Amino acid sequence: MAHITKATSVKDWFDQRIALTKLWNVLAGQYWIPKNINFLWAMGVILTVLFTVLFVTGLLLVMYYKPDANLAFDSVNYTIMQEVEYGWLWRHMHAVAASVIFLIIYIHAFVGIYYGSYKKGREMIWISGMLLFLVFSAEAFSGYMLPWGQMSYWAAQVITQLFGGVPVIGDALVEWIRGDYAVSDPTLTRFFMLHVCLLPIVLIMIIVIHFYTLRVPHVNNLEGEEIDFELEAEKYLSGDTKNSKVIPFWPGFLSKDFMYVSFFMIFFTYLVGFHFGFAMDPINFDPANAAKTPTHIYPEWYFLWQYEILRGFFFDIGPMKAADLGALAMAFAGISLFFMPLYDRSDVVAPAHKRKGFFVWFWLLIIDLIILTVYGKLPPTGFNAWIGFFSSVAYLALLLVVLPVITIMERKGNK
Amino acid sequence: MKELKAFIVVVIVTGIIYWGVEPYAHSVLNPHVEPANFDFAKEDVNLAKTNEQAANKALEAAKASGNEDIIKSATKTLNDTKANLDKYTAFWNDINSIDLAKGDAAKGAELVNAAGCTGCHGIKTANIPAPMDDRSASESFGVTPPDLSDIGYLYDPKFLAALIKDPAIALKVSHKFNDNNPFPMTAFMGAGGDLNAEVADLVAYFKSIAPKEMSDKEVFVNSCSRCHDMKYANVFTNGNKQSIAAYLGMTPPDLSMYIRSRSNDYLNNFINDTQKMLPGTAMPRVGLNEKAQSQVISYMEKVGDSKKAERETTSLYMMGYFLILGIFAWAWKRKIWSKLH
Repeated sequence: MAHITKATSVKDWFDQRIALTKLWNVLAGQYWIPKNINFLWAMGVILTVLFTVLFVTGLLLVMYYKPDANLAFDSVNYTIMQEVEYGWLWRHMHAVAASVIFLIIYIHAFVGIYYGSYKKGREMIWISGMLLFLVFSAEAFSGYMLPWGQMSYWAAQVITQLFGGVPVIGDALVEWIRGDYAVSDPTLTRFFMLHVCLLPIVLIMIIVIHFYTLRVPHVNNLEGEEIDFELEAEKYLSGDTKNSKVIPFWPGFLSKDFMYVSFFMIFFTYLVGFHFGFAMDPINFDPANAAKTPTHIYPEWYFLWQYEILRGFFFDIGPMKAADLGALAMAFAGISLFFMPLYDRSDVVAPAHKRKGFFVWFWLLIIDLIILTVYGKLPPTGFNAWIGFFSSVAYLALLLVVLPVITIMERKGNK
Repeated sequence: MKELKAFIVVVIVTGIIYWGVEPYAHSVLNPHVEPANFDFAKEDVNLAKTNEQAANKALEAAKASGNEDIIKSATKTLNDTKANLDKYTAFWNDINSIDLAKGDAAKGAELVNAAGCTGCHGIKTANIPAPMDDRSASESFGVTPPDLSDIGYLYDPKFLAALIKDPAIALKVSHKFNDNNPFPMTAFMGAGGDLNAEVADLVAYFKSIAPKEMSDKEVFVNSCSRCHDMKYANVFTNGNKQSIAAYLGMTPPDLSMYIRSRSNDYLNNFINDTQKMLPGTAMPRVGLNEKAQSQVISYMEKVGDSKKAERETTSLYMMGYFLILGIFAWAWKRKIWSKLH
């Protein structure tokens, strides 16, 4: 046990018992961050803020939401939106944050790809981040279902049906997930549990792991420069703050982040008040109707690229049925980015604009994802279906073939 | 400056995705239609022409495909659209020939009884009660016939004339009703004099008894709630729901959230011309004049989006708060970084 002496101050009292100063230094005061990073590295803090917004508004919504197929729609659209004081605000903030968080996740992830932050010692940061993306997807999907509108009902019908493609146990699996033969009240209640209990707990745990993974290899920087953090930290602590290549998380980095978050929140509250439509499909304001299919079924914008890969394989190839091919391709797309450190065979850590082949590859990937996203919403008929097919194949090829080839060439060229 | 460049790239890529998913895909899923036209003669003839052109194109495509059955069906559709165009042109030419300015309200008042309007309709302002209570009326006719006191406020004189002369065509439900299944409201056959002059008298009468002002809710109740509920405002249909469902072929939807699920624009076009937005629908064209229609939509907005004003002011305050916070944060950041650079 520690040797406890009479405390000289409140701080000292805590220091002796729970090492407050040490904890603060580890978490913020002497958590070293490269000086050479810009607003793109603020996405992590913005994500943390958005997650907090989702968590708090979610708690407020749960107070009035009724997870019952007969009551859910009205509890959201009438009780919360019209009767509860500022219920509309919590609902809009929750819905808009759920959509915007994916935009920021995508920016965060593609900044990581652009600057090569997934490789050479930083693999665990990348993998825990992709795990977060995956669980966030499940969280978003389970939450989308809760208002029990037309689109959420049919999206649930379509997505749960996908598990029917699993060999042998497919049908039983679908029934197990739904708790019924079709999406109905038991499905709603279990998705409610997933959305407000199990998945948030898992998310918080992975967020902690994701933060922890940064501690050893440290954050990457604009140049991909390898910094001797201990040496630079000594420089900083000795008073040479101007020449040190690192800054402490607090107040150095957070003072910048605080500003970015404030300006970001102007944009966010604008969306909440005046442009929430992009995060709420109008069709979802019709109550769920099992007897009437919407003319077009599509997911929220952030899943459209995966949805298009699902629809992209619209014809049978050899013994493989089109539906199974599509489901396989989508399942792969969902986890494909996990393996970025494997596809990239070069150990150069540098921004894409300093790696010619990689730079071209990066923008081709972005263009392909934009095409997939837009065509994921358009009806898959005629010409559109072929665009969907080729861009789906292109996605797989870019990751599985093109990236390994150009990075192997890069590695050999460097020798 | 490098940072600004990166920011611009992020904004452009986000902007392209937004544009593709929202306005672009939306415009493909919901093709553009001509905006609501309250000159119904023009509206109907234009739509019939548009349909004919589309049918022509479909026939050409069918011919190119070479499939006999498809060509046959496309030819039939084209002939139907042509017949439709002729029907509407002839109908509105006839209505346009009526000189509404010469209508005599006093004569119209007598005609209302002679023509048998009050056999089904009540006229409260003229102390004529409806012959049946709402429930029994909806059970016999499918839907409760409206009270005629305020139709002069809700409808244009020309639309009223059309409605009196041939309700099925004016309401655009002639695809559902024919000689074997007649529309509940019979066309006005005249009371012995000049038919068109009598129609003008009736219209003049309804204009003369119509209220000068009506609240948004009253307009909604008279125009919509004989079929539709608005449960978030405790407005429920006055008739027998099962009779209404049998009459229309389905239970008419509750309209509480329609301002959100259908948008202002869609509602404006749909109420104005149901067949344009949802071909074959059982819902009649409502035929409201521009003012009454805007009142209906404003009522739907009041019910379905009741916190709009609060939302907009609160959001503005929040944006202002974050702007001020951002300025302070920027000043603080400058202070901290002056020691770091």
